[in-house]
Amino acid sequence: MRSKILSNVSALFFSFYAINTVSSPPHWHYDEQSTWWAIEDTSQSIPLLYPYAECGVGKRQSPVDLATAKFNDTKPLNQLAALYNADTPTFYNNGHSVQVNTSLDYSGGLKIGEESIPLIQFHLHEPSEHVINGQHFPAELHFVHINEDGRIAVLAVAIETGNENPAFQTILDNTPVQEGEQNTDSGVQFNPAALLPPQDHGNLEYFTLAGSLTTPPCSEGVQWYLLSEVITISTAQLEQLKSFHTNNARVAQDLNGRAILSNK
Amino acid sequence: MFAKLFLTALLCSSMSSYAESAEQPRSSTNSIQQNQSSTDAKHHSRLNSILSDKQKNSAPMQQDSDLDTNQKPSMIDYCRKNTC
Repeated sequence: MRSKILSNVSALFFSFYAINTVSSPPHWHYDEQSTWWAIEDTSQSIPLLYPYAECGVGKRQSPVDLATAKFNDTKPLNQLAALYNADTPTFYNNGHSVQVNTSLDYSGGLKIGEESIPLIQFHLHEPSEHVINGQHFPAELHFVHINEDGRIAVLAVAIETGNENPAFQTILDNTPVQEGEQNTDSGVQFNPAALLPPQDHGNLEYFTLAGSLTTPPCSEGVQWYLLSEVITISTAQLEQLKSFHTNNARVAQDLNGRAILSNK
Repeated sequence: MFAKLFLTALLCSSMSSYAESAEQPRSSTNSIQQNQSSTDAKHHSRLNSILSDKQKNSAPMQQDSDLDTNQKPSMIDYCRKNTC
C-alpha cells in the first residue's frame, strides 16, 4: 500500500514536472540506470527535484524477464490488430536510440478490441530489453501508441539475426548519424507494417502485461503487447544498428506478482 | 522514569522499522545494481522520506495542475522527442 502511494505520488510529481519542463528533462545514461531515480533537476525544488523517482519506487516497471512470469491464458483477451499504413515519417537519432516519428496526420494505429490508439513513434533497442531466462534477443523494436488522454500501449517485437530486412535497412539508411538530429525531409514512404512478423496483422498473437516506460521517467500505466513471433535482420544490419547506439537496454525489472496474459 | 524509558525505546523502534521499510532491496540481474552502494540506499531512504512528506501536500499541487489545463503535459509531444 505504502509503495503504491509512493508510486502514485511520484507519477503525480512527474506530471507536474512535465508541465513546466517537458522540453528539457535532465540527461541520463544507460550505464547509470540503477540510480536514474536519484537524478536531480537542480533547477527545481522538492518535489520536482527528483523527476525520475518512479524508476526506483515503481512496482510495475518494464522490461521484465518473461521466464519468471506466471502465464495465464484462461481469460478471454481483446483481439489485437496493427492497422498501420504508409507514411512519410521523420527519422530521428534522439541520442539514446534510433527512432522514427510518424507524421502529425498519420492515421495508423493499434486496435485493441474496439479501441484504436494512434502510432506516434517506433524505436530500437540493442540488445533486447525483455529477456527470457536472462537471455537477450539481439534487438527489440517498440511501437509506441498514445491516445489523446495520454494512455500508452507499446507493441514489442523481438529481433533475431537471419535474413536481411529491407524495411529495417530503410530506417538505418535514413537516420542521422549525429545525435539529436532529425531527418524530416527524406520523402521516404514507409509502412511500419513492413517491420511486423509475417502473420495476420489483424489478429496478432501476443503476450500482455502492465508495465512502464523503459526509459526515464519510467512512467507506469503502460500496457505492453509482446508479439510471439520475431522478425529478422542480418548480422550486418545489427552491426550498423550498433554504430548508432549499443547497450541501450534497461535491465529486467521485478514482476512483483504481475501475471502475463496470452491469447495464444 | 520508567514511562520515559519506554517512550524512548518505542521511538527508536519506530524509526528503525521505518528506515528498514524504506530501504527494501530490489533484486535485479544488473551488475551495476548488485554494486549499489550504501550511499545509494541512504539516498533512496531520503527520497522515500521526501515523497512521504510531500504526499500530504499533493492536493494543493493537483489544484495547481488543474488550473493549467491549457498546459496539460502532452505525452505525445514528450514521446516524439524522447525514446519513451
